[in-house]
Amino acid sequence: MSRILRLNMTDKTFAWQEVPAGWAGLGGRALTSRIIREEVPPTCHPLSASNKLVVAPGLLTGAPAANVGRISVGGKSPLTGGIKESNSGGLVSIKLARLGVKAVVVEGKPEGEDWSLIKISGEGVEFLPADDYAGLGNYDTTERLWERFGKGVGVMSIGQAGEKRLTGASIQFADPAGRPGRAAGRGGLGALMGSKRLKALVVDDRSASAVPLNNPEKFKEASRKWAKYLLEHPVSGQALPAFGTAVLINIVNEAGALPVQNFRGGRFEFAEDISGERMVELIKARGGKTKEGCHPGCVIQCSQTYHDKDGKYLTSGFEYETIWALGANTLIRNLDEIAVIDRLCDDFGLDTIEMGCTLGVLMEGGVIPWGDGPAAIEMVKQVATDDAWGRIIGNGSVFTGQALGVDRVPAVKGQGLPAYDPRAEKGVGLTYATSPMGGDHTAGYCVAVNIVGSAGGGNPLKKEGNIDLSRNLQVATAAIDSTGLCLFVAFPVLDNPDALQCIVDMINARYGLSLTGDDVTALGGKVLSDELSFNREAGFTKAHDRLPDFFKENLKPHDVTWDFSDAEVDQVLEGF
Amino acid sequence: MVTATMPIQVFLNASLRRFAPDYNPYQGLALEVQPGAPVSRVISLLNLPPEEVTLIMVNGVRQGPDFPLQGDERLGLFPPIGGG
Repeated sequence: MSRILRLNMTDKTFAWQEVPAGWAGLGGRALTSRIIREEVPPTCHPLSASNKLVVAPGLLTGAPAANVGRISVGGKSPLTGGIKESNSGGLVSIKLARLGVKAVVVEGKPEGEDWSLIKISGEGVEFLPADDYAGLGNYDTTERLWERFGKGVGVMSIGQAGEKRLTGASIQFADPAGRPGRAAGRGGLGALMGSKRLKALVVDDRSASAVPLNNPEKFKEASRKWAKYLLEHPVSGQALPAFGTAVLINIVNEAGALPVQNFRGGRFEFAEDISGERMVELIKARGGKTKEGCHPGCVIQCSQTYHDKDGKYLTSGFEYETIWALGANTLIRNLDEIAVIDRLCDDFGLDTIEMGCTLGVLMEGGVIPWGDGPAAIEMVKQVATDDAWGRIIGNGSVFTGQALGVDRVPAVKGQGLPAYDPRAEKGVGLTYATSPMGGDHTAGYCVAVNIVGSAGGGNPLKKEGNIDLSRNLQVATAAIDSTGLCLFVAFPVLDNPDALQCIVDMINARYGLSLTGDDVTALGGKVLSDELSFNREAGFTKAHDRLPDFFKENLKPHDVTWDFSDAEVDQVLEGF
Repeated sequence: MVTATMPIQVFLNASLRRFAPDYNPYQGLALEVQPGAPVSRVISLLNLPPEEVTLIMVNGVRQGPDFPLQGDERLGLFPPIGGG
């Protein structure tokens, strides 16, 4: 039977809890958001003892099926002040599931200044001193932890940014090759982990047995079909493994929705220099790897190993959002310079989207010149030091904008916006405005329909249809994020009606349930209700569901503006 | 009767570039088409397998293969693509 593990950081004790009846059918985001809703006072300071860091594998994680190994990390966000679920790959999720851990709840806060490391294994739970690791980046931390506890253990850790409790801090996860290239990046959850003085969580499942399946035959049948659906779909089966997520640079650029120079234009003259096509060319020439999975059991393989010009490992998990944020948004067009910043972000534990928006604001404020990669690298390096600039930029785009008196800051609810201009992709603009997560694209990824043409396509330039699209995708995504499934399964699910049923069949065979597709959708709605009610009690109002004023400016090449009325925006998540 | 042709600029992306060995992605391809020619005509002129060209952007707007070109357009051709 699965249990909840509570880690009390105040007195360094742990306790196992049977799963309360109300949490039984929940996993991933549904569970992290429910626990936070029930146990965290919405008005608490995010770095106070009252906040909790909740880590939960999805409903399907650990079972023998493709792409079910994602993890949800939740808490009250130090960046937005609202509820947060940040989703990552890595090894921790599957190992927790195999150890029968339905969620880890990190609570309380120690009086002293000492750092802890917690090891969870089949033998039990250990609090270990971690002062020796303090001040280390995620690369050194992961390497040392693999040396000490064995290659292949799951590691989630914070770097210098999380230790300093900066609100742009991420939590990094070791990938199957032992590199901390996977991130629960958004929302400053690294600062929350740092406030608990928890440097790293190590999970060793070597003594664990397979997760129990209520109906192994039915599960096998469904999971076989599932892998087939993923591999047969041209996006998950071909495009993503061939070019990584950066394959989007050219299409979003072509669509006129690639934000350039702090959201001034929709097309980047040098898009090709930072495209997935270019990245793959460089990887091949330098002996890197064009495809790898972010977690065991991934059949999509959209990650990669990127080498520098001398053929030496530089970074991994080099994503579209990262490349846009640090590239087109700042006018840096040298992919190697962008890769260096990505590496620094993973090492220090910084959200790459937030850092890209922040560098754009720094350039806006005239601190460093537009397009100056070396200057941007030097600024980001300050985050690992006690330099005041490091403190400023490590706190993200809004904080940096305030420090510099800059009013052009692309953020919603304090969180920097991702790689699609909301004027030329109005559907995802509605998601930015209304998601309880703050400015976030994954929460309702209308790009898949409006730009890439899934599910018959939509129109990114017109308002029509986008209110329903954003709403429906936000509900569906909340459900997907609760299963442990990688969000890229949305491509086959949007195009193939049998794929959703297949997910339901796997959940039913895993737990002996008889859910329908509608039940899964209803789960998504409940997740949003938990999150939105938390945010309301934290002080969020409709006034927070607004894009910055400058999106009323005209955007080239399509000559579009953000033209939704407030009343229209408010319809998106009405009723939740 | 000879109809004047009109220039268009074509950009190939992702796996479609393998059909144009010396393709320069910064310049794209310059083609001449008859006004009113559908995008599918360009696809066949370039010897691209039509089933692989699933995303067609004409001046930054997604269109179907029957969309008639008038000249001076920027045409982006893509295979299935996704990410995020």
